[in-house]
Amino acid sequence: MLSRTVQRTAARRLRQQAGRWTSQRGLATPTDPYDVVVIGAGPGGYVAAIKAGQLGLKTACIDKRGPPGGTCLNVGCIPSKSMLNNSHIYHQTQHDLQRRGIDVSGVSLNLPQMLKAKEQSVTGLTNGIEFLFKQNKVDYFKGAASFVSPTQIAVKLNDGSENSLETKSVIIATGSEVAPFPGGGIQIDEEQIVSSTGALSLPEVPEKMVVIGGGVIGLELGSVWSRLGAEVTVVEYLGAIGGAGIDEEVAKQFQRLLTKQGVKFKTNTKVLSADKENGKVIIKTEAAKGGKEESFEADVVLVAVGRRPYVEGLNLEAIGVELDPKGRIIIDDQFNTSIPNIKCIGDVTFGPMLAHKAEEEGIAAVEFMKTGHGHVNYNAIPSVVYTHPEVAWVGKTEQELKAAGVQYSIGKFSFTANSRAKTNLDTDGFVKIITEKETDRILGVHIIGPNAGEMISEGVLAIEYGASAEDIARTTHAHPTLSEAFKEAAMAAFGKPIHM
Amino acid sequence: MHPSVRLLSTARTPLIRFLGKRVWPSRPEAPHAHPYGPPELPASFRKPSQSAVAQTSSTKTLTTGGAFTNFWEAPERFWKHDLNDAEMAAIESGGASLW
Repeated sequence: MLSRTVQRTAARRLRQQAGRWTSQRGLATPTDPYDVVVIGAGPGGYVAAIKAGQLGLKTACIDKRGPPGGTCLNVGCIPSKSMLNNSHIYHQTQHDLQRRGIDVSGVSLNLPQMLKAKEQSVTGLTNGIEFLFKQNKVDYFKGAASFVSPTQIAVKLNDGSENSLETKSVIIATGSEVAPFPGGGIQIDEEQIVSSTGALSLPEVPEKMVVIGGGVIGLELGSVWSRLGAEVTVVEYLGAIGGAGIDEEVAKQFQRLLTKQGVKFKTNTKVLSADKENGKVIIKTEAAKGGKEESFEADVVLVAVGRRPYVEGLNLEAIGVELDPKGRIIIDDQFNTSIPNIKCIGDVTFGPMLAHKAEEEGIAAVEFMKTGHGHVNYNAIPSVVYTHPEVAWVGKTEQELKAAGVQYSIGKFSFTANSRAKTNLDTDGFVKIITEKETDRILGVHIIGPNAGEMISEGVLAIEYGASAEDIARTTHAHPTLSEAFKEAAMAAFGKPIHM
Repeated sequence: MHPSVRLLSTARTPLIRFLGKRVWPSRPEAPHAHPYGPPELPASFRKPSQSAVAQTSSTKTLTTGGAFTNFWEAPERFWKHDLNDAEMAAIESGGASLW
């Protein structure tokens, strides 16, 4: 029934467009049309635009935010990494230096300066993208794009003027936005009840902070404010933290380590409401399966329940670009939408909402345009949580393999037995490598520990190339390094590790 | 057999292999369903020989404004679908079979 409705609607649109085509015939543009216009200058969009420029396509990129970089650079990955790094240094200076033989006194937090350092990182990187646009002959338009037709885009520029771009093809890369609390019961004001955006710019450290959602964003930002002195409680509907794709064993260890750092957790808990009262926020919860109701107060509440695709103002309905019931633009594996000259990449379509996934898709989409071929291996996309210790994974989890009936082997190596981790006095965590029992081929890598985010690249490369655990184990790793734990886990997967 | 000779005779073959410089085939790949796309959605909107840039420069298919000169140039899902018995009966009876 739904498909018939879609067909009827699409047919109607085509008839309407046919009429428009006749009336527009004969109108020539003063300049040649662009080969490709990229809408959105986030990690997917700006990379696609630069790649298109490099491949000799006449390219434009449009973004309404102004500074390029999208959510990731402006209010996401980059500013949060600045806050995570600097809050870690502050916390370590206060609590960890003495045992290393360094006595410090008079340590205090200068939050405005920390926020300024964050802004400087962001500005430096966004300016860098504008420079790269110029270097690769990409015309950058700061404004809101709206489809007039599949080949004509109206741009309402941020300076108030208007422009119209003719193009042969389009890549939609408009990303995602913060998802509101389900049911709309909690209103985000970005002061007391904040999204990730507001949580990156709190003017003072809250005494008590409640984080709704124990996924990557909630845990990273909860960690930041916990290190800076807030009493942080994470409320998670599911039974485990870490978000989709995390291995259960890693998730349990992760929760234990964060609890040791002072973060409190309420898992299997449903948030009912969060209301502002007398300068505080009162949060009401109940057990996820129903039952016991609880109420507690906080100075700041972070709503981190996920993100949703962003297509506002694009006028997609006018040209017939189809969305699925979740609001994602429907594409095939070559990023084609329902309109032949329009492709779509990144958060606004299928797959995990990750900046590096969008980047890969941006390059592949442009290569498909130019050559008819492109490559994204969705089995080899890493996920990283930048807490301390970091958590990173790629490929299949033990639970997924069990459910699929795959026979597997596990190799695990703890950082407590790694020489470099020992010298660094930083031994929490382990490397877990899962292989196919019969062939020894690596199917999944799960790391919790220092430098996991960097180390996971070796696992990604192994999966991309179809390596076996023995391939990794027989590859020399420098001594003493944390990555020796990776090699030892590989040794454990097909035989025995040396140091455990 | 001497142990070292036995070891040599079973030399390990690594799974990692040098793939050489990547060269794309001359024919464009056929599109398929997106790996993360829900199974109920259409697998592909496009025919394999159509690359986006090339396609828009073609006068036969898409013209300015997103319109198609002939209905058969639009993606098949907009115009081609098999009628079931009930639909055929509805057409033949002028809609009376629906009541």
